[in-house]
Amino acid sequence: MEEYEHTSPSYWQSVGMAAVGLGFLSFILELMLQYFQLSAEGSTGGLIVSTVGSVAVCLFMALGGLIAIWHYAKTYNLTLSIGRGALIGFFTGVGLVIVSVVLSQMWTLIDPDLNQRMMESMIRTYEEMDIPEEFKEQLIDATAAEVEDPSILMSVLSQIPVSGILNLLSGMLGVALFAREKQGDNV
Amino acid sequence: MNVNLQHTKYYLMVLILGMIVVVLSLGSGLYPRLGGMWQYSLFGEVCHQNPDRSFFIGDYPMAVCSRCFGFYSSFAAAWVVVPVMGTFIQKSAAFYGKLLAIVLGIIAADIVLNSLSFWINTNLSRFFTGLLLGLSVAFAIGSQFLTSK
Repeated sequence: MEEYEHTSPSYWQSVGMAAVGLGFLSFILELMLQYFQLSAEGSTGGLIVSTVGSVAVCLFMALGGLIAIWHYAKTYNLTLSIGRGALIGFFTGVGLVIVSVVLSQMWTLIDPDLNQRMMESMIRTYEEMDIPEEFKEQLIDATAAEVEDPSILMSVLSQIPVSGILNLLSGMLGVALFAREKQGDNV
Repeated sequence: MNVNLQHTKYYLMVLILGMIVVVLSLGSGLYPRLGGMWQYSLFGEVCHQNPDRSFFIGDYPMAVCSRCFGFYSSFAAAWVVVPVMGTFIQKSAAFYGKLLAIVLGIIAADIVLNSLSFWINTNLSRFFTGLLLGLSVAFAIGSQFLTSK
């Protein structure tokens, strides 16, 4: 395998591919879950599908770094340092959030009422939950505020820290699984 | 065989980030006077945050579900001990690939069997499956930080 220090091809194609691909997938899955939740509100089936689906969305959001490293290492037949893996993973996490948020905002042009209906559905769900009243009110207020004052910038900024960290870790994991330098393999 | 920690700068970065994420994932139960829902917004896209499936601190559910909290907390705890794990965690990429596949299989089985009513998972069982994933990921990444003399 070539060492990346000697020839270091650009990783942006891999970052872009993983960010756009997984951002699009998580957007589509989340959209499907929202429509399913609205149509099956209150049913046990609705709860099951939304739980399973949300785990899948979480996986898509966290695995960007791993996929980007896999693509980069396989395309150029490279081994990578752990720091470069972290960097590629972090950039992928940021890109993934931007793609997902922008697509979600664009969908509001196609179905402007979706967010409003989702808010009402979520508030009904919260009201039925056995949680303290004070927290319930905070939850409802926060949900309403997000819908009444949607901001792409705020959505992106609030999601980047955790998504960035998770993808930074999955980028490092990608190095450990697909592009590790020699020594670890031999032990 | 002696084993040394390498990439110390990145090790510390992950340690600090891991600790910050664990504290944030606790939600507002530890510091209710600060109030607000900002911790919950941070994790909104990566966790369903269903209070029925979350641990509570006081009157407040954590900002993540019990499975996610199992992942974050065990990752941080395992990361702390990576430097003293020595050759125990120095395994091949193939070993960690298989380990992660098994752990993800256990999580998938927990979710699917619960959905089909063959098994009822609890906050504790969900926490345990998250814990397995956190340990596996921490040791897989951590193995890259150790070098044999």
